Amino acid sequence: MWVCRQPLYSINYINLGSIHLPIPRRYALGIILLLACLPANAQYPGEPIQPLPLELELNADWVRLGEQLFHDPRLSSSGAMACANCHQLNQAGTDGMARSITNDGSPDLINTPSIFNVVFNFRQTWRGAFKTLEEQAEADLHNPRHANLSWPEILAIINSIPDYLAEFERLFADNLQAKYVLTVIAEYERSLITPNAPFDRYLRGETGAITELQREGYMLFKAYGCISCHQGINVGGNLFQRIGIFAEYKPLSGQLSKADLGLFNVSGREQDKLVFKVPSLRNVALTGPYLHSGEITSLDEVVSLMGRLQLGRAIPDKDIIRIVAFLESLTGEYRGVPLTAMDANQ
Amino acid sequence: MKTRDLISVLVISILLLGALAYFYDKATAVDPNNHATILRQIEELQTLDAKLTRDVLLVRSGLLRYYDPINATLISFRQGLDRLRDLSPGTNHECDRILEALDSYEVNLEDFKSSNAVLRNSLMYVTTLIKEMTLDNHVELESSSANLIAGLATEIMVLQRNPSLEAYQRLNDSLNRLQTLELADLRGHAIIDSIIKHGHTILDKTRSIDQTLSDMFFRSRLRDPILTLQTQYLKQHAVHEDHAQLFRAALFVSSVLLLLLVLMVVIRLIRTTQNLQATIAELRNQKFALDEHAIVSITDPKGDITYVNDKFCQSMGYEREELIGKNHRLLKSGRHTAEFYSQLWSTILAGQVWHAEMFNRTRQGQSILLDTTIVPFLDAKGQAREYVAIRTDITARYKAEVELSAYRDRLQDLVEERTAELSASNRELESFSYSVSHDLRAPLRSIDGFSQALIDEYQGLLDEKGRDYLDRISKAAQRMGTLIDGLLVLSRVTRGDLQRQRINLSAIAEEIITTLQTSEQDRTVEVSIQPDIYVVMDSRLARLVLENLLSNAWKFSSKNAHAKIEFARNEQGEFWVGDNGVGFDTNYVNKLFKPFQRLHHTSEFEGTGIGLATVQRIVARHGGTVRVECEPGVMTRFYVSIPEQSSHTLEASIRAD
Repeated sequence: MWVCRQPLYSINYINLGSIHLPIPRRYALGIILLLACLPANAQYPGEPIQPLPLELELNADWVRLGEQLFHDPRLSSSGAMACANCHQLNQAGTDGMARSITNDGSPDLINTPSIFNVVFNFRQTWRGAFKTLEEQAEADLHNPRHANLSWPEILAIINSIPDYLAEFERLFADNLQAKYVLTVIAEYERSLITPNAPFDRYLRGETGAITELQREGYMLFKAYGCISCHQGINVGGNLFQRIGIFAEYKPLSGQLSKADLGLFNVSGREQDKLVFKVPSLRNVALTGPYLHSGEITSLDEVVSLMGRLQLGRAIPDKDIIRIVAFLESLTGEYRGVPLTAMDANQ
Repeated sequence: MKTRDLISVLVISILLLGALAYFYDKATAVDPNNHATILRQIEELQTLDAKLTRDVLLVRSGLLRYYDPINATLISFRQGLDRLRDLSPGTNHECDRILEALDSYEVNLEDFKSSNAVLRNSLMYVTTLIKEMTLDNHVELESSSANLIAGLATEIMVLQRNPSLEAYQRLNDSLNRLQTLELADLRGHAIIDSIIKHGHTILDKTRSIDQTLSDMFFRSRLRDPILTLQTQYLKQHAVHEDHAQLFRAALFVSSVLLLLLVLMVVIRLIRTTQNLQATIAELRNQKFALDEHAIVSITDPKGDITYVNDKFCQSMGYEREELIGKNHRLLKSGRHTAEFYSQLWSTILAGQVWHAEMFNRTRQGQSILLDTTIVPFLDAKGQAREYVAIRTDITARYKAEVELSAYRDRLQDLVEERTAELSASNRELESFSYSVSHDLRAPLRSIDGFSQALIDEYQGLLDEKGRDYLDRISKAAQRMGTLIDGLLVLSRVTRGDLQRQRINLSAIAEEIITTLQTSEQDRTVEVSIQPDIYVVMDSRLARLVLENLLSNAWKFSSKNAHAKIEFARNEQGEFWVGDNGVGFDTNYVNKLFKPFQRLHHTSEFEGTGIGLATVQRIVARHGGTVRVECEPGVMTRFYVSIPEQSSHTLEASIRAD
C-alpha cells in the first residue's frame, strides 16, 4: 500500500493531462466503475451488463512511454522477452496458446489472460493476488519465468537507454525510480480498452447492433444464470468463484496443480481452493483457449462445461449456439479497429 | 541607554519574538479547516459503510444484479481511510482497527458475492424445475409427491424471506423426503435429482450467506471502529483545542509582554531624549555663560583653530574667518621660551590639562596676558582629538599688579625713609628730653639749692614775706624737678622693646602696697588683693602701671577715713584697681589720660598729671585698653585689659596717641 505525500501531479494520483485529481491511482478502477455505474445505468437501468466507456482520460506521455517499455524485449533477463510477447495486441491481448512459453522455454503454469480491459478487473491474475496494475507489473518483472529482473537490473537497463532516461527525466523531473517505471507501464495497460463492441452499442441504444440470434443468446445467458457471475462493466472480472460448483472440476492431469489452487495461493483458506477470479468475457471469442488451464479450445465446449460445472444444467445445443453468438457480440475495438486474432475460434 | 541595557532588551525581545512565533505556531496548530475535513472524511466513511450495507442488501434482494457498485464503494472506502490516516496522524491506531475490520469485511463480502451468484441461479432454476414437475404435466406424479414438490417452492421462498431454524429444518426434511421418492420416469427422476441438488445448494448457500451477512452487519461491522475513531479523534481534538487555547493565551501574554517591553523602551527613550534636551539646554546656557566670561578656542590636534567664540575675536582683534583654519601660533607673543611651549605641548599631548598664564599677541601687535587652561578632549581610544583652550584676559590685573608692585616697592622705600627719619627724630627727641632733663636739672638744682641755702643761712635776715618767697621758689623748683622726672619716665616708657612674659600682678601689687604703707605708716587702708592674677606683659612696664594706679588709689582715698583699695580681675579678663576715694568729675573723663592734665588742684592732691598717661601708653603698647568707672566719693575703678597675643600694630600705637 503506498501512502504518498507527494504533490497532486505526482504519479501516485490520477493525472488526466491537465486535470489532477487527489485520488491515488490504484483506485482508478473504483472511480471508473463508479462512473460506469452511474450515468450509464441511467440509460439502461437494471441491465446487469454496462457498456465500456469510449475512452479514458489518461496521461498520454506516460501511455507512450509505457507502450515502449511494454513492447521492449530488453526489459527481461533473456533480452528477448517483452510483455507483448505473451500479450500480443493483434492476438486480442493474449497469444492464443494454452500455456505461454516462459523465460527458460518451458510452458507457463497458467493460461495467459488478455491484457485488454484489465483496468476494469477488480483484481489482477487468475488467483486475484493483485489489487493494482502496478503491483502486478512489478511481480511480473520479478517473475523468474517472465522478465526475471531485479530492480537494480531494470533501472540499469533503462539507464543504459538514453531515450528512456531522457523521457523519464522529462516526465518526472526527478531521478529514475522503480515507481515511475511501474506508473508508465500501468498507464499504458489502462489505455488498452476495447469499447464499441456490438453488444455495447446495443446497450447504448443501437438496437440493430446485434442480431436476433445474439439477442436471444443474451436472454439465455441471463436465464441460465451465466449472468450471475459474468456481469458488470467487464462481463465478469469483479468477483471470485469456485470452478466446479455442481460438478467437480477435474484437471487434465488428474491432480490439482498449484495453479489450480487459485485463491488458496493468496488466502490460504481451504475453501478457496479452485476459487478463481471470474474472467471477463469481453473479446472472449478471440481470447481462447479457455479456463485457467487453457484446456478448452472452443467456445461451445466451454459454455457447455460451464453449464455443467457451474450451473448444474445441461445446456442443449440450440441454446449453446445462441449463447455463443451473444458472446461473439462482445468483441470490441482497439483504437477504432475491431480486434482480430489468428486462429480465432469463430 | 547603556550598551548592556540595549543588549539585554534585544535579547529579551528576540526571546519574546521567538516565544511568540512558537506560541503562534502551536496556537494555530489546530486548523479548523483540517478539523472540518477530518470530520467530513469520517462522515464519508460512515456514508460508504452505509452504502455498502445498502448495496449488499440490494444484491441480496435481487434488486441489484451486478457487483461493480459494491467493489467501487469498497475501493472508495479504502481510499477514504488512507486520506483520513494522512489527515489525522493521531488516530493511526483506530485507522488500523478500521482496516482490520475492513479486511475481514472484505473476505466476507467476497464469500457473499460468490455464494449469492450461485444462490440466485439455483433459486431461479429450482423454480423452473418445480414448475416443470408440477404444472407441465409431463411427468406422472402422485398427488402427495406433487404436493411435496410444490411445497418446496413455498419452503424455499419462506427460507429466503424468513430464515429461521424451522425453515431450514423443514426444507431439509422435504428434500430428504424427496430423495426417497421413486419415479419410473427417468426424466422425472433426473428432474427430481436436480431439484434435490439445487435445493441443497439453496439450503447451504442461504445458510452461508445469512452467516456471512450476520458477520458483516453485526459482528465484524465497520460502524463500530469508525465510531471509535470518531470519538477518539474528537477527544484528541478537544485536547488539542485546549492546548491551542493555552497557547493562544500564552501568545496573548507574550504579545502583551512584548508590548510592555516596547513601551518601556519607548518611555526610556523619551526620558533619555528629555534628559538629553535638558542637558543640551543647560550646556547651551553654560556655554553662553562661558562665552560671556571667557575667551574660548578649539584647535585640532595639529593646532589649527577650528572654533573661536566672540570674546576671542574681540580680544584678539581678529574676525572669525581670519582665525578658523589657521594655526594657533599666529597668536604667539614671542615672550615665552621654547621650553615653555614644549612643556605645554608635552602636557596636552599626554592628555593632561595644562594651566598657566601666558601672553598672546593681538592683531594690533599688543601683548595680552591670558590666564589659560588647555583641556585635551580625548576620543574613545584615549587620543586627543581636539584641544579646548579657555582663557581669561588678565592683562589689566597684570598691569595693576605690576603697578601695585611698584607702589609697594616705593612704599617700602618710603617707609624705610620715614622710619629712618622717625628714628632719627626719636633719637633727637630722646637726646633732647635727656638733655632737657639732665640739663634742666642743673639750673633747677641751682635754683632749689641756692634758695634753700638762702633759707638756711639768711633766714634771720629775711622777714616773713621773704622767707615765704623763698619757700615758694623752693617748692616750685621741686615741683619742676618732679615734673621733669615724670617726663623722663614717660619718655622711657616709649623706648625699649617689650619683653613680654607671664607675670603675677597680684604679687607686684602686694609689694607696691607694702611700699606705700611703709611710706605712710599711720594710715590705715583696707586692702584686698585678689591673688594669682597673671598677665602677659613687660614686667617693668607692668610694675609701672600698677605703681601709678595703686599710688593714685592710695592718694585719692587719703581723705577718706575708711579707705578701701581693691585689686582684682573680673570675668571679662580685665584686672582693675579700685578705691573709694574722691574720684573725679566724670564730665572730664576724656582729659583723664592726657599727660599733664589734672582734674584736681595741686593743693588738694599733688601729682604730675603723667601717671595715667603713662599707664595708658604702656597698656596701648601691649595692645590693650584701659577704661574707668567712677562715682565720685563712692568708688573709682580703673579697668585694664591686656590681650594674650601681641597684636601690637603701628595703628594701635597711633591710636593710643
